[in-house]
Amino acid sequence: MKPYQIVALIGLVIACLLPFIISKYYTFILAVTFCFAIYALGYNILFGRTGLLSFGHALYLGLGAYTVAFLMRPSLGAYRIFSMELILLIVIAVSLLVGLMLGAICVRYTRIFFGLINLGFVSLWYSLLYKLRDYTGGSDGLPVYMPTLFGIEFGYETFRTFVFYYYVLGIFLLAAFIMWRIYESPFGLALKAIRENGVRAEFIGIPIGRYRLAAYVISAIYGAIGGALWAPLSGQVSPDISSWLSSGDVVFMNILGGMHTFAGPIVGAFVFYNLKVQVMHFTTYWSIILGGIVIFFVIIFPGGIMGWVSRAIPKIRKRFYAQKD
Amino acid sequence: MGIKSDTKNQKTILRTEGLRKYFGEVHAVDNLDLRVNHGEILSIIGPNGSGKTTLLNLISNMVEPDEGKVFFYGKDVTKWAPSKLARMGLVRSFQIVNLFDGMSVLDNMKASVISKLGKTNKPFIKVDKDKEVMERSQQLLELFKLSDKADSTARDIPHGDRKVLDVALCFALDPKLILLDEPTSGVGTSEKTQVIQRIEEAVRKGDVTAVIVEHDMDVVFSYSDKVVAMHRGKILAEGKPKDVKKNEEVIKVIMGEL
Repeated sequence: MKPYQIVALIGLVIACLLPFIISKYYTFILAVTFCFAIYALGYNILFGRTGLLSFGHALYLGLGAYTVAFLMRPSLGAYRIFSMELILLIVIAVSLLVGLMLGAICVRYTRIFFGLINLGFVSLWYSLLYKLRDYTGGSDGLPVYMPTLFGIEFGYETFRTFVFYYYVLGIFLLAAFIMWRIYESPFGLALKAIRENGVRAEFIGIPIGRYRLAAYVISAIYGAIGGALWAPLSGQVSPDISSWLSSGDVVFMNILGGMHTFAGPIVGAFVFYNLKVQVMHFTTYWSIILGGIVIFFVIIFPGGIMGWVSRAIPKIRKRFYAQKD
Repeated sequence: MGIKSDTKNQKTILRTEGLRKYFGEVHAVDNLDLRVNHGEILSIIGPNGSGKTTLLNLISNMVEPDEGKVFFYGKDVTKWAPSKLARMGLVRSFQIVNLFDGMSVLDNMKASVISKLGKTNKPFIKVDKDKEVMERSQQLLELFKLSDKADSTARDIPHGDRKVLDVALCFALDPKLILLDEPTSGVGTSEKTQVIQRIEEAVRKGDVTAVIVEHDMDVVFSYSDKVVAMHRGKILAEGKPKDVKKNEEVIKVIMGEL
């Protein structure tokens, strides 16, 4: 077995055992963390891999979350959907469509223009969530009911603090595995070539517009899945999930964890979200402290936490992390 | 290629028709008709600003022409995206080295090879486990004598090798026509011959036609089959190297300057 496989296996065993060790509250927090890890992982194929920095990806997080709430709302009567599997399929289809439409516009631009046009879209979406009260519930948002998992209905507490954790973990593993394969594939190499030198990539025969769009759509789907899994845990969706601040969080997660490594976004999501939760315990001004910590991290670890690890442990670097970049 | 051997050298594969590009007052390329025949190494010479690079930019659609057309194997490709041209077999290198700097030499090569093999859209095969991709990449590195640098990052290797890698990326695409923009610029005199020899070797081995923009007259006259002399966006003279060399206007405008 390769070293990175051993590390991943140990991580998996720990993740499976944790709910029996830690409190119910932390199991819940951990489940939310995995949702954000999926979101961050998807964002990285666009940011770290293809070199496109978006300031508006919370749009897809919100899109996934609101789609769940929408499919469950009482006014649908007999057509309400509670099957999480079916919901996820619909979420994937919706985010695929929206990603294709918005992406087709966005990928015509690169660098700061790409970032800003995404910021524009997320601001527009945020206002719509606020103003279309009849459909979105305005600032109150919409309630999210408990979905069934593989057709089984669970009790409120078991669901939020135990069963759904494993469900999210399972989907996270699947999502991470797929992303890993993409990174190792010729398609992943083509995206990297586009990041390194878009002009040259075009001249060696890679149609860069289409490939940027593909990366955008993949990141949109991952974001929406993250949001869809988060919604039942939260029990409520409100416009804040899609604010530009929330869009900034995922950029933080990627930079913090190491955007040029595969595991970086996952580590970043864990550190960022759990720090946030911890700091929020003792002060409402959490953003000051969190901001400080993030600045500290960025200065100390310019390549992100995993970027630092990959340099500190050259052997692992060769096998696992550098390969991913 | 299905062409009779006796007509092989006569077959025109690239043709420009009334190609024109003005940059303000500067007539970079002015109503230019160029023919490139199969299998030859054609060199374009001319003083600075005579429009050589612009001509390559127009052919490879890096820059859109004001007027005129480019025909590749009889097809009008004037408006084709560079990536489509590349897949059709018309590729180019760059005067200022244009590589995937942060990637290893091998990964640079792999990027070009997967493009050639049409595998860039495969998200679920492992590129390092793909025999075809890996073998081809290794072969190409060997052909261009870059094997020992395979694992180095492209930005860290010597300039001469970067230049060669730039050209090698083009050859990885198995091109029919390759446009080389000053493949020896910035390369030390001692390395120059080596670079151009590696290129010539690759051209003669593969069934490739090459258009080279070059400043070094020794290189031009010893390796080309045909020379086109440009001045102010127009063709001043064209023909066999020894004839162009003797052309009085060429001597006046180009040789005089060098």
